Amino acid sequence: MNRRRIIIVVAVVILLGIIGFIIYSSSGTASLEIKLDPASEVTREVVATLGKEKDQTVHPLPSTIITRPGKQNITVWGLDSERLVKEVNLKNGEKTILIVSLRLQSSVDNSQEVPYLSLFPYQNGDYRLRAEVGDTAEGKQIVKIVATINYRFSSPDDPASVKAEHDFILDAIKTWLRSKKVPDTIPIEESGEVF
Amino acid sequence: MRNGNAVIAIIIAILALIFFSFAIVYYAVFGQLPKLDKPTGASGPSYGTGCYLEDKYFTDTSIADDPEKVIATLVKNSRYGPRAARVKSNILDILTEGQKRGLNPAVIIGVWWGEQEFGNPDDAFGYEHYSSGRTAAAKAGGWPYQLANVWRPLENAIAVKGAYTTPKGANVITRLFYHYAEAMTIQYNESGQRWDRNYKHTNYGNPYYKRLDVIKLLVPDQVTCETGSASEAVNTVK
Repeated sequence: MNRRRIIIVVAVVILLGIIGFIIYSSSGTASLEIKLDPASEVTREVVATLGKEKDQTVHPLPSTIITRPGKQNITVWGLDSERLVKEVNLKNGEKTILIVSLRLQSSVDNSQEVPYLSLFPYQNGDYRLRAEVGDTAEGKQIVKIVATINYRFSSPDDPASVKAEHDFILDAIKTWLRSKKVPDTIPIEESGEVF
Repeated sequence: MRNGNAVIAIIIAILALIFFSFAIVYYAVFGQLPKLDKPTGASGPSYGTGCYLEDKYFTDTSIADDPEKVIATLVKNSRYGPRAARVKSNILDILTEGQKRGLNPAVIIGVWWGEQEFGNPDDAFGYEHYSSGRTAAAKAGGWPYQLANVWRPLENAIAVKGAYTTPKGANVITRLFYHYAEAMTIQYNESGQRWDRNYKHTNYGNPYYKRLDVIKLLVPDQVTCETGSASEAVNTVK
C-alpha cells in the first residue's frame, strides 16, 4: 500500500469523526436537578432513575443529571417509600429542577382504607403533621400523629418562651384536628425534628 | 515498513468505522448517544442563589449612626416613602433598639415592610402571629412588645438555634426568612432551595424580595447578588 492510500484512509477516519461530532453536537443536552422536599415523609436513601426500567443508573438525591432533551420518565423512591413516577419535558439547553416529596409506603397502601389518613401529611407555617398507621383490633388505624413544631418566635435559652410557643401551637393542632373530626383519642407525639 | 504502516492505518480505520457506526445506530434506536447521563452529585452546575445580606452584616449597626439619613432614604423612595413618612418615630425606635442590641436594624425594617408595608405597628413584624392567630401577649403588648421581641428570631438565626438551624448549611438570612413566614418556606422550596427574583406566588407574590429590597435600599453595600445564567423550570411533585 502506498502513501496515497494511507492518506485516503486517514481522511476517511477524519471524515467519519466529523460526521460523528456533528451528530453528537446536534443531539443537545438538558440538565435535570432532582431534590427532596424538606417536607417529604421519607428522606432516607432516596434515589432517582431516568428512563426505562432497564439500563438504569441510580442517582442518590440530590443529584444533577445531564441528559437528552425531550420527555423523560423519572422514578424516585426511598427506604420504605412509595415509588414516584413523573414525566418531565426537558428543554434543550435548559435546566429543570424537580422537587419531590415521598410518602411512606404504609401511608400510600392504606390511604383508601384507614380513616382520616388522607388528611396527612399536613403542614402550615406553624407545624407539620404526619400519621403513623398500625394494626389494631379494629384493623389498620392511625395509631399516632407526629407533630413537628416550627419554634420560630421562642428562644431555646428561654424555656418559658419555648413552653408558651409549644402550648399555643399544640392548641392550634388540636383545633385543626377537631375541625377535621379526627378522634382526640389518637395520641399526638412531638417530633424533635426541625422543619 | 510501508506495509506495517498500512496495516495500522487499516486497523484504525476499521475501529473508527465500528465506533461511529455503533454511535449512529445507537442514536437512531434510542434517540440519544450513550453515556450522556452524567450525575454531578450534590453540587451540580453552578447557578445563582439569589441576593442576600451577608452574614457578617447581621451585627452591623452602622445605619443607626445616621437615623435621619435612613428616614430620608425611605421617604424619598416612591414605593416606601408615603407609608414610611407616617411611621418615622417607629423607624427611629427600630434604629435605636437595633443599635442597643448590636443587631442590624435594616433587617427588621425590611421585615416590617414585608409583613405590614409599614402599617399596623401593633402587629408590625408579625411577631407571635401564627397561622391560627396572635397570642394574647402579642395582642396586649402592641408596638413595644413587637419591638422588644422581634430580635429573638434574628439572634436565633445568627446563633443557629431553635428552628433556625435549617436549611442546613444555609446563610443567616435564608435560615431566618425560611422559618419566619410560611410564604418564604414555600418560595424557597418551590424555587429549588434558593431565592429566585422571578418567583411569583399566586397569593404571596415574592415575599423574600419584598423584604430584601428594603434592606438593599438601606444598606446596598451589605447585600450580595449571585445570578445564574441557566434558564430553569421548577416542578414540585408530591
